[in-house]
Amino acid sequence: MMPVHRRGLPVIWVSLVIALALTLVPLPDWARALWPAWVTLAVIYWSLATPQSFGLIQAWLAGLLLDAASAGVLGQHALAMVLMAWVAQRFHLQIRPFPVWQQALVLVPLLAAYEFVLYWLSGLMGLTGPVWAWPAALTGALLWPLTFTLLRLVRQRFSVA
Amino acid sequence: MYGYKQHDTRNPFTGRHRMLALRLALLVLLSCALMILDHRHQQLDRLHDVLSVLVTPVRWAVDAPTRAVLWSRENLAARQHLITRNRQLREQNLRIQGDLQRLQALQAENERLRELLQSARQVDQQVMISEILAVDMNPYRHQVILNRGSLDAVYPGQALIDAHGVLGQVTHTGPLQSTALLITDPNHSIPVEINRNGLRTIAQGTGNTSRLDLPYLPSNADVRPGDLLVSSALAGRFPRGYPVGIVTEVEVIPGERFARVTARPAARIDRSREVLMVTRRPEPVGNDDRSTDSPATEPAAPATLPGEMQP
Repeated sequence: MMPVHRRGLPVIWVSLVIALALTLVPLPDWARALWPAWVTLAVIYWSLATPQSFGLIQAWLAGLLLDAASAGVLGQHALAMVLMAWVAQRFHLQIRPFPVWQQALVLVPLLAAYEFVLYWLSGLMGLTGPVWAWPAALTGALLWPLTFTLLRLVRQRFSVA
Repeated sequence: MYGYKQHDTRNPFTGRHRMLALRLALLVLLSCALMILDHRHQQLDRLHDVLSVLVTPVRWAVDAPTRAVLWSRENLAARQHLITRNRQLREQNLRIQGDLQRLQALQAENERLRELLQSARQVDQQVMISEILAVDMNPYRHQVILNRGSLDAVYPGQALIDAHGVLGQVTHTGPLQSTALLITDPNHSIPVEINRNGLRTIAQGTGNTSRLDLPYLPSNADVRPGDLLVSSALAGRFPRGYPVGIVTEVEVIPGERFARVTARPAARIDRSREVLMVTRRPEPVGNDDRSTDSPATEPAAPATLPGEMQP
């Protein structure tokens, strides 16, 4: 792998940390069910756009950071995140040519699956009372054009390859 | 659109996909190992410490707007408002001071009586004020982040109270921040006693901020709505005698061994920002002098840590 690919990594990580901060914003309960998984959106973007420099390991680390920030069990978000990153990287050549709104459509089942993995793992660990936060998948997909445009601006401005 | 390289599309896909799948499998296994270690055995303290330091600035940044609003509310308040507030607080202070005088006399009397009975003394307690950060957490858990950590001598298991009652206990400590589990978390249990008659039992969280369950009270137990539940020192984790909740409902189902008893937490679970952390001085064994006289509560199931499962 060429060192040029690594040059954009700080920019990618800054965007991920901002996404993490957005995730932690305190919200009333009704809004929290709709609050999209920002880190996942960013991870999917970078996995689609720059699969050469943003690998699965980094997606996994982002998930681990999310685990720590939300004081959950370490590994839970990491597992869900790495699955999403894998799908995005495996099919990035197929998904990338789509117009943005079609990408958003693809994201609906993907984000729903992400929330389902989190829900399922919570249930597995004996946490009572979790719900499958599928509405967050819809808002996440709705906000994908915005995320996509912003991150593409960032990517072009800092020429992240 | 992205100008991906032409040689990508020619051939060596299967190899690359296989690499990707291999990496995925390894990371999934690693995640599972982490989850098992963390959830079942709680053996990842070092990793937790490192990650906690990494996310500390993010939490500060997220908390900053709330802090700014509170600060400006304090600093830009109208003079008239401050004067009224000041007067109210002075009156409240006077009342509390009055109560305290009586309390001191009672405490002295209590200690004399305890000496007569030759039983253990109540331990001294120190408190430290700390703030709950306005940071959103895993919606499945009732947890909060506090702005004090192991550098302020916070330790796991430390009890957390607000002005009205017991809030929860510290579960993880980072150097500057710590995580606490609230008594309303579905995986939390706290040993309590009914203030009126000293009957001891366990209050479990329900995941609802305004409800606690008391599942281990037999149908013929002497408990009524309105009874105050106070913390008992049975588990050696919570200080004794702080209000935990007020019994709201007692339902006796014919044929069932246990009554269905629910309580409302005394602490303002979702409204407190400033909280007190109670430090217990090290003490000899046998801190609860009445711990042997009644088999009403089983010895098991003290305040559970987050990892443990409910029965």
